Amino acid sequence: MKNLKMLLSYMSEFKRPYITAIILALLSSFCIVLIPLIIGMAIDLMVFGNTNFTLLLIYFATLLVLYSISEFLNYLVNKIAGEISQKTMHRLRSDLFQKIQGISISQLDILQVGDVISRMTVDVDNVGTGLMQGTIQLLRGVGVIIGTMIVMIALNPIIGLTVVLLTPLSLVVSTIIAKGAKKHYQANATARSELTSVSSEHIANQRAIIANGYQEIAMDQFEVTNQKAKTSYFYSHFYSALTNPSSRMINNFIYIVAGALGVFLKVSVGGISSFLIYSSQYTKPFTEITSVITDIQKADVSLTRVFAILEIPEEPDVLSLVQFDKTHGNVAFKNVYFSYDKKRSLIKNFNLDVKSGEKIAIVGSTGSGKTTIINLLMRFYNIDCGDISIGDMNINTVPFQSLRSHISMVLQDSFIKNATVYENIAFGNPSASYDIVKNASIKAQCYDIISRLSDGFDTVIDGNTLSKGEMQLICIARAMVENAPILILDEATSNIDSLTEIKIQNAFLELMKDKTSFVIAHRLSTIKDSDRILVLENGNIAEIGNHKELIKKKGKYFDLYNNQYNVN
Amino acid sequence: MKKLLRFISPYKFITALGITAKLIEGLLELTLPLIMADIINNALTESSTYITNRLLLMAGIVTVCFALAFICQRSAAYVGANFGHDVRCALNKNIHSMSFSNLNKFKNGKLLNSLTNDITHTQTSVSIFIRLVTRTPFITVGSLIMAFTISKEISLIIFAVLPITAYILYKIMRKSIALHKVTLKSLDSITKSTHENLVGARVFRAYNKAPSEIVEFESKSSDYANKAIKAIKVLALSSPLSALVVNIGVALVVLIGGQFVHTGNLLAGDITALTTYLIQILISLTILSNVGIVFTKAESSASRINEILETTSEILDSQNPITDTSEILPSIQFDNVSFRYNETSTNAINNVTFNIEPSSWIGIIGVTGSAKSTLINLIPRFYDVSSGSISIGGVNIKDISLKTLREYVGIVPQKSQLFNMSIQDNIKFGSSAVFEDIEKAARIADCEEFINKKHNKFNEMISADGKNLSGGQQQRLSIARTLARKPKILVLDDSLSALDNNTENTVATGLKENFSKTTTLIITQRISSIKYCDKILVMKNGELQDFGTHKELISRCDEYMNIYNSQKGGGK
Repeated sequence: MKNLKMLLSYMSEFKRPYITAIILALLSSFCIVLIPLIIGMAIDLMVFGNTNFTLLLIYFATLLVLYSISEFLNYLVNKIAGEISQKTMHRLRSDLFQKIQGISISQLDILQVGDVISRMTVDVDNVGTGLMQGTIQLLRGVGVIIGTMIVMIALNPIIGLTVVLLTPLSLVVSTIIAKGAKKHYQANATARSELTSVSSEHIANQRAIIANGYQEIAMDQFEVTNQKAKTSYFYSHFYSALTNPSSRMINNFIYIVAGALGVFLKVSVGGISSFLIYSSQYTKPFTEITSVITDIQKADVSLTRVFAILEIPEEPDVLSLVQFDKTHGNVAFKNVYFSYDKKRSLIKNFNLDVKSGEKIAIVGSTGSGKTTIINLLMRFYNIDCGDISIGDMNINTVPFQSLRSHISMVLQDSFIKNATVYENIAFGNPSASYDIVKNASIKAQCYDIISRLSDGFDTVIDGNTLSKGEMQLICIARAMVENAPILILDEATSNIDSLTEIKIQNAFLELMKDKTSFVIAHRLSTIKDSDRILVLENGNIAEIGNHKELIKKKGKYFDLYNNQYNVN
Repeated sequence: MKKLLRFISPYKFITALGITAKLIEGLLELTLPLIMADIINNALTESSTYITNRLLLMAGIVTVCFALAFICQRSAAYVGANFGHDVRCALNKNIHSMSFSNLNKFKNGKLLNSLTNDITHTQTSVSIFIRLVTRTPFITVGSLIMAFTISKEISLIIFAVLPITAYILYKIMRKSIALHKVTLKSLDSITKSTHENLVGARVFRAYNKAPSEIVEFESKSSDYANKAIKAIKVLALSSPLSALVVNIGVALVVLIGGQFVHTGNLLAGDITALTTYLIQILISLTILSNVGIVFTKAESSASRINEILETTSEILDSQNPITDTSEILPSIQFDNVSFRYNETSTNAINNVTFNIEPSSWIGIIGVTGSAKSTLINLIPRFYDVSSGSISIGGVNIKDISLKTLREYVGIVPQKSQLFNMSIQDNIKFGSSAVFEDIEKAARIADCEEFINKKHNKFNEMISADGKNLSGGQQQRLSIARTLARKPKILVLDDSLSALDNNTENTVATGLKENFSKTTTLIITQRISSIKYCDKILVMKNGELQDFGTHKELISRCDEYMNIYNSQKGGGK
């Protein structure tokens, strides 16, 4: 019900076509209801040697007109229903997308990528076909049923009432069957998802399976779920396939009863014909309605899934026009506390003062909180207490747009959009001129790489076109174009060869000129020249100082350094 | 679809039973309007017993029809379920027998999709085929014949209507299937965009791209909507247009039928029967055209399934392969080995020859793309050499059974692959290792500490893709898995890289102590990892650049010097 209300608000712009479609649908059912009556009347005209041809012609013409009108209306209804359902789906998709852009990263991190995509596609589709088209079809069917009932009862109350009273029988039977099938359908759905998770795990790790000779066991595991899928498929499909013959049998009985009654009650031949057509035409919408109702139920479930995302509150932005001054590059963390999981504290009383232009390196093992510092500075996550400021302004008091254009970021997992190289480099400033982009790529040492691509800067690339190292160079060029006063650089950990890495180092140095920078380093050789090195441990600063100081101290940094460079 | 028919053959009998039952049902059902016409025509003249008998006959027919339909639906579900199961089984078996190069050809999503959705599509089409497809042409033809027996002249109207309707339905279906395909492509780009924005969310935010991304997405989404609407408009014509043609036929039957009744050539009840048959034909044709969609889907699904089924591994056991390796020493000889990924590509490995002593520690170093991983993937025959030969302890690896060879050579891959099962099962992973072996392997791989911190220790479940473990922990578990198999040749394919230096040291020391007989190959990017090694292979562009100790290499190998300097000197 709540869903329906929300959906109605969505549909408000389609109210007119929707109502039009319903009216047209009802009109067409009106025509459909009249037709058997006319056919019956026409048949009654036919008498051996005494047929009224003028009237027969008139009925013939009336039939043609009614057929044409009803089918034309049907066409219009199909068309309008399809159109508004597609447009509603478009709205839903766009809103979902906008929502994804509006909610905080912390909330986004909880969502599963595949799940969101399936809500965006499959569920939105279900809503479109089920709710928009389904409801119209439902109303058309109901119109035909009610109209037929009225005409039949008016024609002959006894036959009419008998047919009307018998018809629900087929509904009862199909409901019983549907209930029986439901259990097996659920079992089938479970078996199928089990099958999917088993095989997706196997397929993703097929190489490990081969290398360890695990095939036999894997196949046995698969067979267990495959058997379940087979059994449940058999029962669910058998039961649901019974609906059709059962309701057909009942319909046929009704057909016989209508005919018999007609004959015994001495109804005219035409009258019986009308009834026979009615009784067969009348059961059709019932079967349609059953399937439409399933669609609508499916749509309702999907709608809940779609709205679950749409209801996530968006991250509130600062509604002022305050902007950071582009010359401010000093950053201060004061008594900052933060944890992802409120049960386990991570960053406790973190303090750090960074002067404009200072080069800060951050080292530490996995889980020491290096990435967390970036998450907090960029406000991907909000701190629990304390404050972070840039140039004396608390980052919470400035709009996201200003904060994020004040900081450039190069992450270790280089993100490449499926777009041209040019668009990827001019990412933060799409209006950047060709010269700016070219210069940035030269400074980022990726101009040669780009020149080698088939269409140079206009080559469309994605995450699979370039090597890891090359992608990071493109990302560095991207940061060059943005030219923000503060930098966050996260080195790629592995799988980049030393020579490309030298390029990346040089590009980093070029990028860092005259800027405040935070470098998360995995190779200690790259940070020897940093003004200060932060050694993080469990979210806290274990050591701080420049390379020489820390080496002299013979503490954690000294150990790390020796470990990495002691070759012999 | 044709090629998949062999999977139905074990169920030939039941398939035939289902189809026959359905055909008889159709035949019997066709007689109903005829009997009804007879009743109507004779209502006034015949006795009520005559009519009651006819009515009872009809009721009998209806009941028999249901029984036949029951048999048919049951056979259809049975054959569909078994067909699906058998195809899935064959497909899965084939995937498991694929070689690495076979696997490289298919995207994971494609294999998965075939195992699930594609099979469902084909099995549905098998069921539908039994239930509907044989029946509908039969009903159509049958209705025609019945109409013909009533009145040859009026049947001509039906003869005219039939092809027109069929043509309309066919044309519209073809057009809308074509449009549907275009629409699907557009849907792809929506999926891509969403995926990209979710995966790269931080970068999009960092560059304030939300407004422009929203605009871009809106245009993609509306492009999709427009294409879908175009397809819908065509499809929306299908049922009204075909119904109109048939109904004009009905009106004509009524008009011309009047003529015949007037002249005494037909009875009024016959007209009723004729219109019923005509409507019957319309319903059959509509069903057929709807089924057309199911079959187009099934056809493309079937071709994807076949593509996978027809891919067979080129890496096979030799005749009478060696299965006992107890006498084979873990030395490795590469003799003029060249390898290319496929016939047309250039050599990934070019004329490589070297000899590794048993129980030695060998480092393999080189820049990305120098074919380090390719080189070691040849040893357990993940790929077969294109020319030259590889031997272990003087025995050509092709003479050893694949299973034995892969037990003998343990590779820890770059990317750890963990399964959604307990830690213990992840380490054991099909090997004969008992719990003590597993514990020991975990200890050497430095997993003990974090395993003991887990609530259920070795029985702790690992979530899919090892998400509840850090990268380093995953890597260590992956090392433990290989160690539990006690390989005679151990290859660490850059698998120490996710570990910090201290952990790396611990693992290396543990290996030296406990696997002293094992020949160990370490692929690495880090010069610092080389310190454990007796000798080092330097690779460049698929060629062996040099093979020697650190001291030798530093004095004579330029490539090695380059790498060394780039790391040692910090870019200076």
